[in-house]
Order: sequence, then C-alpha cells, then structure tokens
Amino acid sequence: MTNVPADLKYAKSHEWVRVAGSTATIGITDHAQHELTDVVFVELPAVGRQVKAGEACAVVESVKTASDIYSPVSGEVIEVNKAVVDNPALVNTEPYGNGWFYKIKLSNPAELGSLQSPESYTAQIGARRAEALIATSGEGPSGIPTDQFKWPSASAPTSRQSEITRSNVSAA
Amino acid sequence: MLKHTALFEVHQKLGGKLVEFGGWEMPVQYTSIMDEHQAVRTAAGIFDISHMGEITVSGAAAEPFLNHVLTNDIRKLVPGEGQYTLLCNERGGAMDDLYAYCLSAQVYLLVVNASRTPADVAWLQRRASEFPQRADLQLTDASHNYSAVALQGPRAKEFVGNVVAGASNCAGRVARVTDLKKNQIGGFAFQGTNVLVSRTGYTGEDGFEIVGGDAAIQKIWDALLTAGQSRGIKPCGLGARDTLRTEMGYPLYGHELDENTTPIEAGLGFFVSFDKGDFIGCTVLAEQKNKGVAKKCIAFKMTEKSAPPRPQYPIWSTGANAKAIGQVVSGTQSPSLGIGIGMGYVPPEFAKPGAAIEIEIRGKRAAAVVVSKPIYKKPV
Repeated sequence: MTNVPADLKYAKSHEWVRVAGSTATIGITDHAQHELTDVVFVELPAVGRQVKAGEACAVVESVKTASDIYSPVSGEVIEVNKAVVDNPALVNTEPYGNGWFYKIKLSNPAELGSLQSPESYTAQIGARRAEALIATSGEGPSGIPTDQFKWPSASAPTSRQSEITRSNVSAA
Repeated sequence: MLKHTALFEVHQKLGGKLVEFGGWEMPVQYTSIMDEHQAVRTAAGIFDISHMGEITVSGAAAEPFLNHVLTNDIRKLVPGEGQYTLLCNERGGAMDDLYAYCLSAQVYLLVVNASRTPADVAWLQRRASEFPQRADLQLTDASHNYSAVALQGPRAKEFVGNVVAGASNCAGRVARVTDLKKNQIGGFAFQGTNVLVSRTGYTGEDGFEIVGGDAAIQKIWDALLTAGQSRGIKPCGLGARDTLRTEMGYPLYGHELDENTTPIEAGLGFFVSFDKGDFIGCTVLAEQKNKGVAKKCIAFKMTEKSAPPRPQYPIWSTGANAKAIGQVVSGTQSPSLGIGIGMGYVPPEFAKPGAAIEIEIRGKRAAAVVVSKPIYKKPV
C-alpha cells in the first residue's frame, strides 16, 4: 500500500508539492522512498538558488543508487530542511512530513496546473500499489514499507531434481 | 535470457527485488539492505549462492595440476580442508579468486565466482590439456548439478545443527556440523541425499556454506528460515552481501581484482606461495614481491559526512600539490559504521594506513583516510 495524500500535487518523477499561498514545499513520494529503501544521504540546493521546473536541484542517495530530484516548479529556494540532511532516514519514515526537502517561492504559479492530481499519480504508479489509500489529511500514515518479509510456507515440488550421490564425493 | 537458481520462486514469494548479476537474476534485497546487513552482524542471515560455480578436479595429477594453476599451496590441505586462493594468467593477472577444498585424496572441489565460471572452466580445460600428466587428471564443470546457500551470523551455530544433523560421512570427519573448524568442509546426509557444509563465508561473521542438489538446498533454505526464526534470521540479498564484504575489505572480482590486477597489487600476497615450485604467473608475482608494485589496493573510510563513495570516483592526495592519484573500485555507506567506506588503487607511497586522502564525489572532494583491513573491526 502506498500513500498518496489528497491535498498534494505530483510530478511524474515522483516529487510532491504542497502549496501554501505563493510558496511550495517539495519532497519525494512514499512510492519513491519505498523504491529507494534506506536513504543514506540527501544533498539539497542552496538557499537563494533560482530553479526552473524540470531542473535537477537535489540528490537523494540510497546504499545502491544516487537519484536526481527534479524541481516540479520554478522559483527561488527560500528554505531547506536541515533535519533531512542530519537524518536521511526521515525520507523513508516521513516522506510527506519531516522528510521534506526544500521550500520555494513560486515564480510561475501557473505551472501547478501541469502537475498531476493524486488520482493521476496513483494511476501512474500502478493501481495495485496505491490500493485506493488516498489520505484526507496532509500527513498520512508513515511511509514505512509494508512489504515485510513473510515466513515461507512449504515449498512446492520442483522438476529440477539433481543430487550429489555418495560416489561423487568419495569417502576418505 | 537471465539464468535462475532453484530458489528463484522463493525469492519472488519473499518479495525479493530482482536484478541482473553475472548473467543471473538474483535478489538484491528483500526488505532493506541495512536491515539484512544488521541481521548478519547481530543474528543470522541466509543468502542464495547457487549462482556460484563448482568445478571438480580429481586424479593422481590433481594436486600438482592445482599447484600449477593456483597461487596458494594446495599441499597444505588434508582431506576436509579448504583454502582461499587465486587463479592467475601468465602476466600474474587474476582470472578469479576462489576457494579450493580437498574432499579426499586426489579429489578437489573449486568454488568460483558466478560471473567467472565459464572463463575459469575454459582456462582450466586448456591448461589441463597441456599438462604433462593430463592422463591422470579429470576436470568437470559441475555447476549445473549444485545449488548452494550461505548461512552467516553469530547465531547461525545455534540452529544449523537442527537442520543438518548428525556426524559427517566424508571429507572432514566431525561429530556434528558445528564442530567444523574455520575452512573445514564435511559431507552430511540430508533426507536421503548428501550435502557439503564448509565453515566459510564472505561476511566476516561465523557461518556455514552448504552445497547440494537443488531439492536438498530448497528444503534446507526453508528449514533454516524456520529454525532460525526465533533467533532473528533474515533472508539476505546481494546488496547486503556487498556491504558486509566491503566492511571486511574482501575483494570482489571485477572490482579489486581483474585480469590486469595481480594478487600482490591487491594486497593478497599471503595467498601466494613462492616455495611450492613454479605456477602460472609466478615470475611476475615474484618480481612484484621483490621490487614492488606500481599500484596498491587501499581500504579507506570517509572522515567527513558525504554522499557514499562509489566505484570509479577519483581518489586525490591532499596538501599543496594535491592531485588525482587513483580510483575507487568499491564503495558504499557502511551500515555498521554509518559513514562511507571503500577500496581503491593508488601508487604505493599513498597506501599507508593513516594517510589522508580525498574522494571526489560528484565534483566535490570529501576527506577520507587510508585504513588497514578490516574496515569494520568487530568490538571484542
């Protein structure tokens, strides 16, 4: 089950946008953090930087991969989230809350119109993953992956039967 | 068309994230690399290593042949013992790193890297065909006969004997599987068939590697997960396998070792024997041992918070004449240390533990220090 809050807008590249007047907060979605798993490092843009929609402006790294974050909207970076630099795991545990990346003063609010709605983003990431969990509040359930390891049931018989016989491994 | 091990459906059922590795489709992780890594360091983890290759070498000429093609001295092994060793070309470059086990007089088992199995088999068959005593030598690529799992972690010994029970019946003779000493190998009966268990691993923790037929290994995988449940066992993928071995400073072929890198350059001279007579590559290796090398493998740890170091990132010297001196070959965020770690190659004058270096990470240089191996040292 992946969380797709109803009050946010979404980019195809898995960033979310929370609009408050002329400023927007940006982070990555529950789906994105679930794909990355353990985030170990976040590199944020400098305060004061001018970014254009679609421009790579941050990097999030897991053990195995480094992923660019593309700003969904244009404007000036007015605040960055130090908490996520000090504790990158927040991206996994609170992707829509304390795992936010940066705040931007919108230079072209009309861009918001070309972002995806929760429904459209949900469809993009696959209906079976989202399972109609669209929270009504901004801070949904925590983003801890729910695909937990399950204890195996009895294994099915297999047609690949080959054996080490005693003769292959001769007794001393 | 990627190859699948006999445990492939199990990986799918457990929700493993599947990736390509050496021509095989294998799980890189099931839950998270961090969790799986910590499970091995504190409790137990189980890895599917069925993709690795198994080559049997037997006959009266097996011992001299193996001493001719491998760097370590195979004569050190009595039945039931194994050793880490390398297969080198004429230039001393590593063809593979592997374990060689003496199962009985004149019967040896080589366990080789998955990505190198076809190259190793081809190389060994060519060398065997040229070997003077080739009439007394049999070489078989037995990889398709065998599956294998690695059970690793401090609690593995608490329950492995519940699954592989009883005394060994061939190779190393022990009353129970937990009596196997490090590097020892024994054959054990398991549900009407036989499996080989060695006290070996690639993680730095105590553990057991089990080789057997597909059906036996499938049952052993399930049985170990069940038996270890109360001790905190987790299935672990290649991601955790990589972070665990990097913390120990163990080489991974294709990174610390390749056909243009020798065991001496890689810091593995301990596994090269110069008093057993000639072997392929010995001239170059002896010269390197006596005269020195142009590049040396170092282990390093970041000394400031940074993005993880990764293969191919440049290594820099520090100070007034700072310059690029080498490259990272393995790098990751260490789950145990919480900081970036890795290995790389630099000229020998920069290879001293304690030397300050810098790793260039996406255009910015971050401070690091050369350390001795293992990079992660277990608290006593």
